[in-house]
Amino acid sequence: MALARLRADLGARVRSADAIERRPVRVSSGVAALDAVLGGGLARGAMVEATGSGRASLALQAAAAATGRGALVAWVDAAYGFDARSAVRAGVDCTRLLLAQARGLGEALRAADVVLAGGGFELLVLDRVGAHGRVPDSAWARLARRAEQADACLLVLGERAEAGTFAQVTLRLGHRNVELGPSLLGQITACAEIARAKRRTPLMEAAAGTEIALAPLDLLRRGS
Amino acid sequence: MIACLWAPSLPLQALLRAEPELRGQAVAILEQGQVTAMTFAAARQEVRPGMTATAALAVCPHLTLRTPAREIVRAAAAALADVAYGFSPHVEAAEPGWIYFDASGLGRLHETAQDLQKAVLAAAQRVGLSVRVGIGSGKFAAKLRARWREVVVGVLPVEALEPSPEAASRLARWGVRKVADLAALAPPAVGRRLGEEGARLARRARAAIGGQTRGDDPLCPAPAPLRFEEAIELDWALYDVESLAFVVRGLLERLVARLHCRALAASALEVRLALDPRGMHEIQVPLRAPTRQVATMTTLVRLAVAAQPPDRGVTGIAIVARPAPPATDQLSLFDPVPPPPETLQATVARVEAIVGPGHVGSPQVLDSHRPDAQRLIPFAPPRTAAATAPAGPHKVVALRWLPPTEELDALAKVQGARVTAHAGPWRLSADWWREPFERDYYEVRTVSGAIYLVCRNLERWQVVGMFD
Repeated sequence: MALARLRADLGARVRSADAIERRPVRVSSGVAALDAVLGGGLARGAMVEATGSGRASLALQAAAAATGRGALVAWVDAAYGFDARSAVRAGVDCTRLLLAQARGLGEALRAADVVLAGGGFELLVLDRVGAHGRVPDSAWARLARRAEQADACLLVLGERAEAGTFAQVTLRLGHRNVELGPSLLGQITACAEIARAKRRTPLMEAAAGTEIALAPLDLLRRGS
Repeated sequence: MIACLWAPSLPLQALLRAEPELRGQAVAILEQGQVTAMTFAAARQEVRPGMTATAALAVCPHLTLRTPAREIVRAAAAALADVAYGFSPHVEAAEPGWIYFDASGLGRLHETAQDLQKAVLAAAQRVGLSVRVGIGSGKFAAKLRARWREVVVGVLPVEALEPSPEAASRLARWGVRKVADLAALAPPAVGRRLGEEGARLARRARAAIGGQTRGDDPLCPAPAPLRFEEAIELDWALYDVESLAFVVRGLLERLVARLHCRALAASALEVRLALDPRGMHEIQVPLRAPTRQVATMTTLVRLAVAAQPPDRGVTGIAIVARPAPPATDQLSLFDPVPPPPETLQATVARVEAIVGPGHVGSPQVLDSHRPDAQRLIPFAPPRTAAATAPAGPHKVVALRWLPPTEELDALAKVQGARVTAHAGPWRLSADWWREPFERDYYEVRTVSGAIYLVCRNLERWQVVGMFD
């Protein structure tokens, strides 16, 4: 009787013991189609690189999915480009989002290293778009190792793919089908392509060379 | 039932507690030109109380002679009291090095007096003190057992009752040599011959032997002090943060041991640095949640000192901890376990040390029509999951702010061949009562496919953001 009432109160949150996973090994990207191709989402304990238009939107959706589950997300911004209004509109729980605004690439790399070393964050977004300079291979290796130790997903946003073999997956994104409204830009569709992957799954093989259509994205209305 | 804690040679113990590296060495305390206490290693070398410094060094050339600072002796005495407050709220701090506490009612936790004794000894050892413990029916009985390490008080000499020399000599003439001998005499009869002191000695002897509280001194408990301070004076000035952090760690370890005795944690730290040759530099280190993690607090103090460095060398350090009950969390069975708040605070402090103060935190949108109205607030994630299920990600195109240097200097550049589509303008105005803000915003798409947010302020065009 009491168990039935508890089940009714908690609903779907009550699961049998064997149905509870020990720990999610993937972080949802917030886009079902991309999660399906990646085998469940962005890999934890690894680095994922995203380039092209739509990378920040994808990162915000991943952050929204993670913070929605109660996990903590860190965002290291190398060029003061983070827009809090976009994050709120994307559904990010900003109380669980740690934003570090670095003054350049060097500071951003050090801040990312410290965040990963401290642990406790499921997703770290390293946004290096707009920051000048090149990341040395030793820094990529260190960050990849830190991500592995912290069991966190390190999502690197860049203008070009630079992490090379240190990234488990490299995504190339782009905007397609920009719909023009009467006075506003209406909807655009973001597409993703797996440019490189260390271990290709059958789904990745099937999707190789083709673009994965992400959901249509609404442009943020100014002043709203 | 009263328990008595005695820390013999408290100044020597305070010195060894503050400088643990001296343990095992030949160390002696020098007060007013004479040796007053020494370690076993020094005693083995024939160093004795009352020796002058020259005489002590003559018999033990490697002897370390020190006069401990008042702060460290005071901290050791406070630590001794904290040990007692860990067992009972009724504690009396008598003369230096002597503490009494009410041990009645502790039978449920410690079945026998020996168990209680062991627990007190272990607690004292945790705060870096070596004590003797005596448990008796009254204060004096407990003191006798602590001082003389005898379970049977009756076999102790009468001198254990601390008689005056005159009373001691008369008792000796009577043939009263042991406490039991004096207890056998009637206090009024002794009083008639030795006066008030004789009656008191006889009552004490009876109380100590007979297990009576009547006749013993009453316990005068004092409220538990809530000041936790540890300090150290340095032999030479320190100038770098890392050296300071090394000393700070030792102070914090001692503070945490004391807080642990009282089942408390530190909710804030106040660091006072004594400067060379004079002056004080104070730094406040707030803690996000009450903690007892020494490593985290050391990191936070180190970062705080690095952020507000003293302008001269440091010759002394004092740390005051604000006590608070330790934080307890009711975690969810179904949601991710958040990291401890103090760990998060240390991480945020480390990041802040890299990117500068005010550049780390949770983003917050301000209530304004300015599109860039946002700020950072201190990062304090909720410890529990939201009561309502999250709405899920809403798919919007993120805006990325661009540095203000990226300007379009002419309207032609926006309307030129590079732009394939545009929308707008939307006029946004805000803050008319303070700093009037009025801009026309456009969304433009260039031939490369990138979509920008462009604004016009009077005749000045500027690319302010990019939809990414």
